[in-house]
Amino acid sequence: MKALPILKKLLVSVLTALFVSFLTYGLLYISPGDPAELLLTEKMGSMGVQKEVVQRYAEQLGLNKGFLEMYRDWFVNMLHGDLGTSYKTGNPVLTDFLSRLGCSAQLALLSTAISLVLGVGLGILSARRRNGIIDRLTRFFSAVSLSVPSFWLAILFLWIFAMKLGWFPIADYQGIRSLILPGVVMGVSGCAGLIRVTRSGVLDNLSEGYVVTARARGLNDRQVFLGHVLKNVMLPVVTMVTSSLIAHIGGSVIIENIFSLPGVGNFLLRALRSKDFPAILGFVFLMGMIVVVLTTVADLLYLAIDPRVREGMYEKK
Amino acid sequence: MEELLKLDHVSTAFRSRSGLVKAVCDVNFTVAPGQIVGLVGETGCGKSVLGQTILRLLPPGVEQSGRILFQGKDLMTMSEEEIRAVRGKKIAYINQNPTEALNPVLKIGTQLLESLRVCGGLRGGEARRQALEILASLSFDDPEEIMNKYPMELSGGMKQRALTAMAMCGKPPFLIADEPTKGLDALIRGQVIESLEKFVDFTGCSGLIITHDLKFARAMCDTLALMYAGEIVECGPAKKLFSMPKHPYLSALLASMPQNGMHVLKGSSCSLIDMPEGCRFADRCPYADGECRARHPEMRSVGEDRMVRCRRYD
Amino acid sequence: MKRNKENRSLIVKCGVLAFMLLLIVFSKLLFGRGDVVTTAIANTPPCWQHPFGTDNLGRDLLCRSFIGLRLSLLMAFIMQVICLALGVTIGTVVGYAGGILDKLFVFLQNVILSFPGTVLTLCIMLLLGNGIFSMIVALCIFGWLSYARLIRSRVLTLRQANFIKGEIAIGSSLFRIHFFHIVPNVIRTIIPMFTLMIGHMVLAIAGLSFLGFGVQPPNAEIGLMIQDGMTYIRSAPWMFIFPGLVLAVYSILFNTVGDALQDRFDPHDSVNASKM
Repeated sequence: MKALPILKKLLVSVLTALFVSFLTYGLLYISPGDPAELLLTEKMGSMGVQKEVVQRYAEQLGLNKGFLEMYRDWFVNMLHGDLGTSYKTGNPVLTDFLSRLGCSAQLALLSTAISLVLGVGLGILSARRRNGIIDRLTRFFSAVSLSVPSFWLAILFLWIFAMKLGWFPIADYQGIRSLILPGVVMGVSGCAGLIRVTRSGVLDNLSEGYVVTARARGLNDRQVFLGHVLKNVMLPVVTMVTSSLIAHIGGSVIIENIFSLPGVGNFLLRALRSKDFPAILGFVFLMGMIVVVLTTVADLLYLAIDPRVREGMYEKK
Repeated sequence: MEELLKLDHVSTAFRSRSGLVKAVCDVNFTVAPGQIVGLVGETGCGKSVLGQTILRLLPPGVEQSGRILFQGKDLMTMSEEEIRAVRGKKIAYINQNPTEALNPVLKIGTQLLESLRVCGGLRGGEARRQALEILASLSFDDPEEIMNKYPMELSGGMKQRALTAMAMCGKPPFLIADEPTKGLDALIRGQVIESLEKFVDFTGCSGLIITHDLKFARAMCDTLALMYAGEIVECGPAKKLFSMPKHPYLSALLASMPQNGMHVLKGSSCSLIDMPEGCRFADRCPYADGECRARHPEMRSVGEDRMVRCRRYD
Repeated sequence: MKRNKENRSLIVKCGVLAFMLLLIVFSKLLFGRGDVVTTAIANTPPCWQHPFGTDNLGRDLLCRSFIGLRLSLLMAFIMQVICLALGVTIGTVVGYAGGILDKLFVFLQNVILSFPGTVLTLCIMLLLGNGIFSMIVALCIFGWLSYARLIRSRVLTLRQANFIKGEIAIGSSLFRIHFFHIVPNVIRTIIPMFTLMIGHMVLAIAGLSFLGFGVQPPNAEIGLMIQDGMTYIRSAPWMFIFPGLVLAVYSILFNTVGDALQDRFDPHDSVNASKM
């Protein structure tokens, strides 16, 4: 494997990460409402916050400097692992993030695994029995899973399986037992794309010349499929899995909220509602970093699987 | 003369959005042991479909009929398992368009070793030695290196030779090569001829070579069969066909060759969906009359070893 | 033969969608009377008079579902028109200009895609405040990108296509090439995409409203209604079930029609038997 494309990829990733942080910071900087005032109002009750008190408080928080200066301070601190302190919880943002990452990461992995198994499995089945009953059912299933709002599905499952049947806990977090239901919901609503990509990938590849060559050498259907077609189909699947992981990190905001999970998304939602700026900034930035890392890993995986990408002759979709 | 391969009233048709495409209609010919037969015709005349029909490589849903006798056994009625035992081991097939015919994500070595395992029953070091030997025999300079390359790292001619190498693995007594010179320049065409000749030496096989390239066909083949719109219109020894064409289509094709003045044959081949009732070549034929358009001509013998499908030789 | 069958099923699908859209358009006329607070009939389970039941304030859920969807669809349509205009313009310019502009676009695209979708939208909502207008802006920031990416890649591939090269060779103007060859080619992909994206957007609007960031009460909106329903999930589960079902049905319709259009317009995606 050649080093140059890898280095280039990494460089682009670092640049992207920098820009993500800058953009997040900028967005929050120009958002309306003075955080110092908001905070004081919250601490002291709604009435009678004096201007000078607000000013002093703002200075104390370092909120009265220019934009670039503030960004630079934040950035330098960030490099030292200090993302500020949450207004709301009073903990360092990084600590808050890490303490909630476990739950979210488990959820994202679980739901992606469910998507992957369902998506690739059904995709292959439906392509091999094209226009048969399984194919029709799968296509209907994927249309439904794409269309049904995931938060509604989540509430429905919560109502049926947790409330009516009592199989799963409702509010108190019990580790993996609490993650199964949200994982299934996210897995089901995320598998439509994978089904499509796998199905059309298999169908397209089955009509390729190399399949004829393979069959002409006396390989049976299973050998042709496992030895030749599958590896070609896996390429777009890798991309899909990454984007589904990314989508699950974002989608988890709403699902974590419904299942009241102690995850990153739920915390971020509360921070957004209470305008807890350091927490919002830190969380969005860290989530962005995770996405950048995942995308980079996927790109490298791509390089490892497909010789054409490696030579730069073939741009992935 | 005992035949190795005998096609007996073979027809192939498949459904498309606009109707039933009769790609191959009632084809008969035989190949004797040691003989190389060339199947020539313009693009879209059904010759590639015929090649794939013989090994039943066409996708499901394609309608095939007739008998294809190979060493006395009918390939058409064989079970899937039996025909798999023929593919690669008894009859090798070199697919057209080497760029698409090689799996883009597997190394040449992987694909070659797989062929040796499936067709020759070789594994491990022995397979590797054999693979290198085959590659060397096809005048690859550095077989070791080729084994580690991906198809896209090879040139068109090299891909063609790699494909030939894969077909050689089972040492088959019969070879079908589909358009081995398509899209290659004259220099590489020479290489392909050479590699196919080596193939024949290596395996001692007979073969069917499908091509639109008359020059190449004359260089390679003993016997030629000329196809037009799904059916054979003339067949006989290659030399005689070139020196004394009978069918007007063959005369026109020969006249269109550069060394014969490049007289272009006007018009295009009739649709394979709505066939004319009479002679399929009538619309482009300078000699066609009402009778030609009304009745479809049969193949008839002209001389001892030639057949032609034209009313003028009644 | 096969083609006719496909056409017929496409027409049926479009017909069903058109009928359901008419229901939505005239929902105020058809169902307007049910959207009033009548506490006497609060929390009525589904019955003949109220097929979907009533909510905690006695409003008819069937009426409110349709009225709520009307608002979402209208917003989704406006957003998609904005996204389409932005996306097509930027995609075309970037596709033709190439060079540094194109690199910049790819970079920007990577940056935007680096935020998990909902998170970025929520941040922008925070910036602009809650409400319908800021939701439109926030969702458009993501939405235009899909069109721009599509148009850019189409322009890039078409520029390489032989028939375009031919046009260039015979000296056609860029303008002529664009409007006679590239635009018609691209429209085939845009129409299905537009349909699919409307379905997506309706879901996104409902999601944001569900979280309390989008449409605000007392407006009827599916996401809001589901949120209300969650409060009464034990005593009146129909409050979340039926609005969600209505939303799902419409979303399925848009997706099915979008897919059917894609199959019809983009034949290279569907493998047919004549490919050998």
